Formats: sequence, C-alpha cells, structure tokens
Amino acid sequence: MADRMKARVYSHSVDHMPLVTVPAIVVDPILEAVHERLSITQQNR
Amino acid sequence: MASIKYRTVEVDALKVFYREAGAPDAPKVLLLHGFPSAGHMFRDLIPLLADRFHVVAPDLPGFGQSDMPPRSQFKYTFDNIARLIDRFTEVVGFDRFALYVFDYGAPTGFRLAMWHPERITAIISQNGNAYEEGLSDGWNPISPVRARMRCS
Repeated sequence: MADRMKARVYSHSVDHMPLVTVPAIVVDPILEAVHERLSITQQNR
Repeated sequence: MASIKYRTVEVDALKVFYREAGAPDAPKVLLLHGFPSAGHMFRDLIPLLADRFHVVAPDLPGFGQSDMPPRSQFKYTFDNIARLIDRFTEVVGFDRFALYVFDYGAPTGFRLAMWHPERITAIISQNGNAYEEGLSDGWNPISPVRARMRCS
C-alpha cells in the first residue's frame, strides 16, 4: 500500500512498538514529514 | 525535559482523557494509539517531540482513562471512534495538524484525513493498516468474524 501511495518508507529492525522501545527512531520520520510540509507551505506563499 | 500535561475534556457527553505537551503555537501533531493500549504508550515519545511540536495524544473511547460507555450507548466502530476524535480535535483547538497513527489509531486517523484533508499537514503511519491486504496470516482465524461484521 505504501508503495502504491508513493509514501516515503522507513524500515528498521525493531519490534511492533518502536515508539515505546526505541522512540528516538520514531522522531525522525515525524520531523521530516512535518518540516517538509512546512517548507512547501512557505515556498507557496 | 518537557513536561506532559494530563487533561480531560468532555466531547459529545463523553470524557476524553489526553496527554499534551509543547508550545501551543508550534506545529501540531496528533498521536493516535494502538490496540489494546492508550496514550500512555507515547509516554517516552512525547518528550522527544515536545520541544518542537504541540503534541496531543488522546485515549480513544473505551481505552485508558477515557470514558467507556456500554455498547448500548456507543457503537465501537472506527467510524464512531473517528467521529468522536474529530470532535475532540475541534474542542482542543487542533485546526491543522500532522497525524501520527499506530496500529488501531490508523483506521481512526485515516478517517479524519478523508473527512478533512485540508486540516491534515502530514500522515506518519507506523504499523498502521488501511486495507485487508495489510493484515498478516495471523488474522486468518478471525476473518469469518470480520466478514460477518462487514455484512451487519
């Protein structure tokens, strides 16, 4: 599904809940997604 | 270390408990938890985000410290859960926000995105599922139940 959506995929060798076991890994995709969106918004202004 | 605030709001006569951190004027991120858990699962993630984002993590109805009305009063469908969380975002002033969805939070959050795409700045799906093809063979034993639920 992610491929069909052309989503950016991050894969790590972790368990089902990295937000609990390795939360630092989860931060990067959130930062990237939000900041990318913010920069697109600012460019369009 | 950013502090996490623990709050409760009433949404359509139901008490919704949520965790909140970060500056109100920072970009907003809504965290939707998985099954069978609650916003508690974000306890170590929220502090890592709170210096850059305004983060809110509600307990979905029937989970954690949010109300759990009987099934005669509240249908625990993803549509209904999403409707309540949709109203929740309005009550807490989340007008535009990124969605981080995990597991059970995904079919809830994806509905918010379908209903209000203009309010969603980004979707980060972690082990979230949108289609049955995403279910592993481990779900096969309950597939007849799912089929019956679709028909009901």
